[in-house]
Amino acid sequence: MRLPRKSRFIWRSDGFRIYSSNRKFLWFLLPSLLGVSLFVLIPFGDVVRRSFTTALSGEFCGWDNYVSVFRNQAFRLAVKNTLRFVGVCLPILLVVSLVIALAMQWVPVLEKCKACYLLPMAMPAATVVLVWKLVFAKQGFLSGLLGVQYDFLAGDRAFWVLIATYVWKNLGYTVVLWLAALRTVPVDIKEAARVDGAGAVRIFFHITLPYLKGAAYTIGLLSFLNTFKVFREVYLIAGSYPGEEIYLLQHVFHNWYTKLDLDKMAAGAVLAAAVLGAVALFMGRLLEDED
Amino acid sequence: MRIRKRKWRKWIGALCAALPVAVLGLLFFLPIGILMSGSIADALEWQERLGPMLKEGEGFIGWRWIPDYPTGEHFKRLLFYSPGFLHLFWNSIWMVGRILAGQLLMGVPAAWAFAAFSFRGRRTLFQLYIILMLLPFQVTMLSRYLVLRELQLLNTSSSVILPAVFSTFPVFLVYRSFRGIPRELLEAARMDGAGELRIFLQIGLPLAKGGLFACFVLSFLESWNMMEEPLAFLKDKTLWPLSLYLPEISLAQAGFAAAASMITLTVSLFVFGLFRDSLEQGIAASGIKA
Amino acid sequence: MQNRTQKKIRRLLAGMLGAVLLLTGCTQSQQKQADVSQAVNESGAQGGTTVSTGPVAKGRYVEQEIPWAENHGGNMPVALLPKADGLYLLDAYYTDAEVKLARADFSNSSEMPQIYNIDSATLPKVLQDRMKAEDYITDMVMAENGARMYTVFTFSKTEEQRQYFHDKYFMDAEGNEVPWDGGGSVSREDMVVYTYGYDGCFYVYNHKRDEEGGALYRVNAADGETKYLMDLDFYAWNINVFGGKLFAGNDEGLHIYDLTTLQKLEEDTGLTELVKERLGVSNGNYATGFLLYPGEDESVYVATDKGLYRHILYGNVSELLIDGTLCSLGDISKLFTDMYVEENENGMPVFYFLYDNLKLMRFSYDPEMPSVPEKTIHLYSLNENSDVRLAITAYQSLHPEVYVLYEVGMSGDDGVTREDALNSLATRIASGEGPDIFLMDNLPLRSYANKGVLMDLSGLYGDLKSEQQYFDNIVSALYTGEKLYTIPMLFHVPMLAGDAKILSGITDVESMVKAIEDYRMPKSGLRAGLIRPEATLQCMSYTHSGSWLKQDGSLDREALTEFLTICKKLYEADRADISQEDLDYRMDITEYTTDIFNSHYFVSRQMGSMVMNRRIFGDAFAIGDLGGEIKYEFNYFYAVLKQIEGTDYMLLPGRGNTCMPEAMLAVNAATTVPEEACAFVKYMLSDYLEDTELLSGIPISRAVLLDMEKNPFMEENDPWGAYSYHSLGTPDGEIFQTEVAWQQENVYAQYNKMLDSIDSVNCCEYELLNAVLTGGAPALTGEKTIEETVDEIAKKVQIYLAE
Repeated sequence: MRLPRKSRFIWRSDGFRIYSSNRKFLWFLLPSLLGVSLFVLIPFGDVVRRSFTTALSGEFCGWDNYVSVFRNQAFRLAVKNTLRFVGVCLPILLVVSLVIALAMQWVPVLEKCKACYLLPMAMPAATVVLVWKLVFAKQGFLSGLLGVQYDFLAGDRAFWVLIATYVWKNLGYTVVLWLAALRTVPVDIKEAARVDGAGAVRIFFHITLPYLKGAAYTIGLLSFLNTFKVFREVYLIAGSYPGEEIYLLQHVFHNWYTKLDLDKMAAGAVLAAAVLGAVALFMGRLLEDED
Repeated sequence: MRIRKRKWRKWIGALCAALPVAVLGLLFFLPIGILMSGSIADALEWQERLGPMLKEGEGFIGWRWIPDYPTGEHFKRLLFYSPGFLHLFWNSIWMVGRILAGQLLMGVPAAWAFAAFSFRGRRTLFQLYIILMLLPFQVTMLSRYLVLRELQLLNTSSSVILPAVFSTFPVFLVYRSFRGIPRELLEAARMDGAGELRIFLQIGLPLAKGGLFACFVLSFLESWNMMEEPLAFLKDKTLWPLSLYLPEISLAQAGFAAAASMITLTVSLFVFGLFRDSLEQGIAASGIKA
Repeated sequence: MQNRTQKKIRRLLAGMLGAVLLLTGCTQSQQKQADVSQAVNESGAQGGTTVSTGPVAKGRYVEQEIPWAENHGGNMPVALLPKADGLYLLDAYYTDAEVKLARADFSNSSEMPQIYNIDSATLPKVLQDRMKAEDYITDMVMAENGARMYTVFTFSKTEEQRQYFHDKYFMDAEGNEVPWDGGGSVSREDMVVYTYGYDGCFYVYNHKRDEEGGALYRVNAADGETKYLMDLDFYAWNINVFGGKLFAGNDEGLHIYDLTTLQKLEEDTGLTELVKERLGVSNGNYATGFLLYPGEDESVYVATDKGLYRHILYGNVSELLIDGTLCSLGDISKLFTDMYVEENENGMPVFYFLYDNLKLMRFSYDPEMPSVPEKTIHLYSLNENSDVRLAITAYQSLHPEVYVLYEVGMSGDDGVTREDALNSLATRIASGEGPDIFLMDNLPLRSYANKGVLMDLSGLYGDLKSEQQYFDNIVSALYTGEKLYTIPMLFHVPMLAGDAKILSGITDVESMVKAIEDYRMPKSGLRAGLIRPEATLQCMSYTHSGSWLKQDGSLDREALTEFLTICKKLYEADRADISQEDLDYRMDITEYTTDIFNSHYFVSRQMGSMVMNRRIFGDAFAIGDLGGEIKYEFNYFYAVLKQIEGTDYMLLPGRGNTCMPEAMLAVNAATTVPEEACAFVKYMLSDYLEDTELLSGIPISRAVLLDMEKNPFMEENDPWGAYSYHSLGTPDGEIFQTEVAWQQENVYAQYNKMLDSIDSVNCCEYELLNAVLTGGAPALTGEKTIEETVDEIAKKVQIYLAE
């Protein structure tokens, strides 16, 4: 065995020896690191700084901003709405897409439908708004179908329109990713379990599901990211002050910014980032493969 | 007899599964269908259809899937009489191309670094990348604006391209597929004396092709439809991408807007069409076992 | 198998994508050509640097007005005539046939040049005779040798019809007049357009009255010999001939013809680009929106409101010599009558411009002047404000060392919403690049003031007050504690008009509502002419919107409820006596828009029109405000009002005596040019307003208002007589004639007293106003109860207020 130059071996806790070249990774990582620091990290750092100072004068003011943000009714409403939204739409999306993926696996001919599911993702926000106005307005298609003049974009129902929009847009690639993940489940193990008499449901929960953990992490995080993207459509349809139920975190940030409440926005953002980070970490611990 | 029954049940089961999926698929397609049929309907017909809505009356919008007088006038106007449209179209292509190229050069190797190596702080750094990915644009807009101003990049297309190139989103996506490559393969290659670059290029990239394509497509869609960044950083309207051509679509220009949207959409669909197969096959392939 | 077909499909798709990209790329390069001159246009308006010769650090054209030595008695200079002994102005007076010459005297270079009238006794005898006979000369052109061509307008009144005649004449250098009829083909009724071709010939274009087109003739100025040239196929206000080419502009474009070959030449895209926005603009006679003048070497000087360009014919590039935004060229309220270019040896000619407001401007090149002003003042407003634009042009002419850049947030043609505009404004302010002066209309005044964005103007106002008189009652209402953050340039006053007896009993809102409720219409009709619920809301919001927010910034629900109750009562009272038919008719004929971006919140509620409604439809009351052109608007309103016996007007009662400010100026506390910005603000609040004709509200400066109240017709025979007539027909077939005359002192005294009684200012937050105006209608029509509506509005606004 030839020993490579410049090598260092690390002993893992389980006794395996893995090879790690501590320098080489930098070549791959550095350009990205530099760019990210410059264009993403530094701006965020600035935001953190602003959260401790007053808006335009820049005086240090400690935790004042955080306090006022905590107390702010609008912020609280937005947080509540956002949590509610994510809490509803994420599970719906993940479960529905998984079910569809399973169905597609079972009935292979359905895979042709994939295109239909993927199309919505490509639609730009402004276009979605145009079509949505036609469909969901008081005199729109949906009302016409139901025979009753019902404005879906107002009040409580707007929330469900939002959920529908989100699912509509994201179902496609979620199904694709689930399908790909499903394919990694070894067929022979499943076959063996079936022969042993296990029902389809048991096979699913005990064999398939564990294999999907890694994919679930990616898909979950991706979908989580996309819940924020839905702001664009909401904003285009309903403006800066939509109904109470769909007033989201990003609305607050947006409006604070317009009114030059930069300090509150920064504090709110840092809070939000902390929470998001915690959630992502949690999901990671839960689902990610250790290595 | 028992065998026939089982087969029959299997068929019923399959149908029960297939039908909702198919119907849902059709439902999902409807909005695009509306768009398509709307883009070939002329302005008069639009006015007719939208009559009840504009007048706030009691009726509902009428619709015909194939309009009475199909017309290419919107497309004609768009392609031949709106120099602004083509100019912005080209802007978009150019911008998105550069973004994707940049992401390939910067983000993909970074994902490889996270996936194929172990180093101190790897986990933390990656978590940081994820957190940065989740921040909404509004929050960092001003700070980014200031940074770009210091770098004198404002009002140039680089102000939009560079931050997008260094977005941590592709890193996250491609990381997954790189992760799927079995360690033993890499070990073996290193033992055989292959350099890291060779390993990356000849083992990593090919095996993660699916993930790369998936990332490519998602990134493309993200950049193609991006709206807030150019609006904030590009004052010069001649630099704007296509997505800003009709940021506020009013129903008065519905036909024209539909046609413009169709063209915007079509490019995305092209990209879809080109890469769809590789997308799925590749993702599947990345899960091979040794 | 499948793989292969799939591969094929993919290749096909890739090929198509590539083809599309190639196609768009090709058309792209074609567009670039046309875009170049467009880009030139754009860049020209921003820096004042020449495009083709590279930026020059120093050297700029400086403007100088050449005044009239004496009052020129209301003549209209219609042409500039360079002669050996000076620059002559040709005057033609409209209603009397006074044809004069005036001369700008530059002979004595140390003295200020002035324009002198030339005794009419020096005119040819024929013209003197015509003047004595009070013939009406409508158009005249003169050649270098003194020959002229002109049109005399006459009409014959017979019982059945009127006939109009345009008799055309040619006068040679000695003064012999000969009627001209184009060699027999031009009739007396035809109207023609003259121009002098700088080649010793006149060119006359006879456009047929009812056709698109006409015939072109050439008349030799030496002997009057006429030659028919060719037929043209368009209608043109005026034509230019030089360099053997004919240039004619109309709504469709700029047409160019070669007069030697008599062929139409292809369009000069670069030239058309420069003038396209001013093509159809004209005063119907001698003044137009742009001018052409021949230059050397196949070049032409083009004057538009964007500036003076030198354009190489059929070239791609135009050189900007004088930046319109820095001088009087940019003032679009004035049209060009004529121009003259005096070429120089050093290559920088001297330009003379004659405007239709009788001003003669001279531009000469000063090599020491910095080509771009050193200081720039950024002025920002959300919507375009024409008064501000005029102020800027006027100020620029007086202060060429400063550059005022006017930026409009929502130009209206590119889909930018108010939020988008506010967002980018916020970005700029936060990054230190904010504008120097704001127009706070529809901007979040409270937020900006709280965040310290705005400068305290109390000192500035103190200075202004010491020099002139202002409506202090209004300005002091805008103070926040000790500080004054904004001063409006103009304001609007909501008024109520009706029977004098009833009005005398109205003291506040409640009594007004009661008066309207108690009134009984003699026939079917509206009592207050409010017609729609939105109109009621608007009118009342004028006087109430300031009360909807409590001191601490939260919503005052009682005030809002009270407001809606009053509106509802009014609304119901308004239409208690009208039949459904009549109501539908009134609604049909009344345009309405919910665009509250109109800075004074009223659209089409100009008092004059409202009072007219009283006449025409028999409405008992009229509610509205005085809109634009305050001078004339008031006279019109008053005249119409007094046509009915026993009528009077008063301030619309509300929560206090209120007015609506417009064009509220504020200065950025972080401005880098504080002195210049403040100086400009001072200017906008004082002097310039006197000169302008187009103010769209009452000026905050008392001095200006007093000046406006002076009768401009004092020099006429009957200064207090009618200067304008209006006729309107009622649906019943009656015709109302109104004679509008300038009002006397006592009338203005009452008006001024009303203005003096104002003690509060209503500027409401945009979001709140929007919510109430768009959401309040159901409460009035009865669709929802007032409580429900208030709840809804509160919900909408809660979030905004809570942020």
